[in-house]
Amino acid sequence: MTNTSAADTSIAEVADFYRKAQKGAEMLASLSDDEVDIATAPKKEILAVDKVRLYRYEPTAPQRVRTPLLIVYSQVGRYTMMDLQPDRSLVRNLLDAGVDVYMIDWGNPSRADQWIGFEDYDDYIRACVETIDMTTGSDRVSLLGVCEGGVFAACYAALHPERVERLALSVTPIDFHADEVESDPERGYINRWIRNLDASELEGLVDACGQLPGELTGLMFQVMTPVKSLTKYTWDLPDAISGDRDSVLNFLRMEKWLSDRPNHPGAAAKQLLVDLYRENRLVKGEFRIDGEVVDLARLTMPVLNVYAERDHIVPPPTSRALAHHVGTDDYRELPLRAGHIGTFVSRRANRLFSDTLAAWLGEEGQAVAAPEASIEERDGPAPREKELPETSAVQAVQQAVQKVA
Amino acid sequence: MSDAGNDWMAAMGAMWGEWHKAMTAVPGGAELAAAAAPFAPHFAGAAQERQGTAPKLDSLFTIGEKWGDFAAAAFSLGTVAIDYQVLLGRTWSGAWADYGALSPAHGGRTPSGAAAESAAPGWRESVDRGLEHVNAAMLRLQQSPEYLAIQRRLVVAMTDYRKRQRDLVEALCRDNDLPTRTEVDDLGQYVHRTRREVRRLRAEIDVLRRELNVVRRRDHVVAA
Repeated sequence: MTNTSAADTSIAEVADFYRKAQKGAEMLASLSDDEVDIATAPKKEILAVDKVRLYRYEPTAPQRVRTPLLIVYSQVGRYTMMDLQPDRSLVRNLLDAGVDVYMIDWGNPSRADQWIGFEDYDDYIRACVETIDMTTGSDRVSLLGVCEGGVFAACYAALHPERVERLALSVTPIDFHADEVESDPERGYINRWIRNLDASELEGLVDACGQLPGELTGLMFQVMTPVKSLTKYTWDLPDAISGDRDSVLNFLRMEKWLSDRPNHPGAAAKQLLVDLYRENRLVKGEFRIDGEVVDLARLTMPVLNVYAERDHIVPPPTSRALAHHVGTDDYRELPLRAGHIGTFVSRRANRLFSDTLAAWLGEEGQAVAAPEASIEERDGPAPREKELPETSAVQAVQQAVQKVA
Repeated sequence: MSDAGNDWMAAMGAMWGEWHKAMTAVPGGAELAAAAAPFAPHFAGAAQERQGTAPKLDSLFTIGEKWGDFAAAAFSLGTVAIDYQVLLGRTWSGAWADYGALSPAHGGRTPSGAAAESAAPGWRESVDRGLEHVNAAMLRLQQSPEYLAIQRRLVVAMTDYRKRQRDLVEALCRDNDLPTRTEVDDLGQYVHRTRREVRRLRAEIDVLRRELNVVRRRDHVVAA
């Protein structure tokens, strides 16, 4: 290419850049906050414990999968990623496939919640499973754990396997040192960052803040992609905001989710950073919750492990290591050609994930034919509840004690 | 003397040195500085003696020490942050310079003699390629022992800064009969333990309720 043609190209590119910037500015001016709405699938709150909420989603299709699905999201981000927008919503896809979907919202812990540890997350999941049992009459649930939520879900399933029908994990770290076999500099930043610090330094960092502030974890994610983080709102911005209205709204919804980063309770953060990331105790069989060892060999239910091949936050080897520790022969993997977040927001990855998960949940004779029902109809007394007269919990205990006596 | 006192003395000595240097730079200042020099130790000594013999206003000096520790931590954090920025900046600019050497205008060869990539077709793509080049350099840097060492110093300095800041604020709170962060955290812990206990009691009730339900159903079947 000659210098003249390169100069011509450059001039055209400069003009194009400014045209996009102007178009993007006009587009932003024409949008309102209300349009940048996320997590819009209709749902109903059915449990509130401390700051934790359990939602049940409104069905959109006849129920085809008997066992309810409980989605356990990470505390590092917000569950709204599962339903970012209607055409990229794992939740809506599962509802359309006839899955009865429940979601845990961990809320936004403040410094006052700094004592919440993995023991409490186990309690919260237990309360959610119990509530689903009371609502539907199903004493077992299938779990879908996402990222750190996958660790919560795996721990719960290992400690209470009798309550878990199936366990699906997505982009979940299990062997936190498995990234060491890779030499890809784009992956494993968090793992290296944490292993570079002593346990006392990590604990000191959490203690100094009383928690792991959302701003700090957000900053860490930005440092992982050093140049992209700098150019995102400058050099690359005109491209992001100059497309059609839908694509700009996609971009803004993602930004809205990114900026909504909750704080992580201090006690749980110490367990995550020190016990898991640094000491790798989960796969060593040394990670304890309330004094009880979390034994991954107790994962005897069918397991589906979904990982992202381009995941720079949770390197795939750290997820895939689960295969060596579960106690079931029914272990399957689903690799997705996406990044950590792309697993849920990439249209193609999202669809493949949803379809595979729905089909997997529907296996082994779980399929049932049920009439389409509104959530109000579904929330009526479940078979188990119908057998019980109206009684308070305390009365129930008294009656049980009398029975035993 | 306390660490804070020693720090203060050192700071005074440094200030005296700076003053002396400044004075020698102005006309007639050297003579004035030379004339004042013999008195310097007396000033410092008098200040030290004064601090040692002054009334022991414990709360006041506690605050003073906390201020000193906080200032030292803030200074330390600032220093490490600068080191960190310098390291990033050096790598960033070095990578850009290296990328510039790849352009045809510079003979199409890197400083190490490697052949350049194909010519950049235009402004945007050229910058995009440059950014990719810089990104790769930054990612390599993130794995280097030098980066990891500074990153660790940064975490330690940040933690120390927060801790000293809290110590200072808590000292002020105590002096003014205000609840401290530590006291509030302690209360929070009591509340947390109570909540946890309530949750677990509820869980036990749920288990009993389920067992009761099983018994009732069995009775129902027997009765039928």
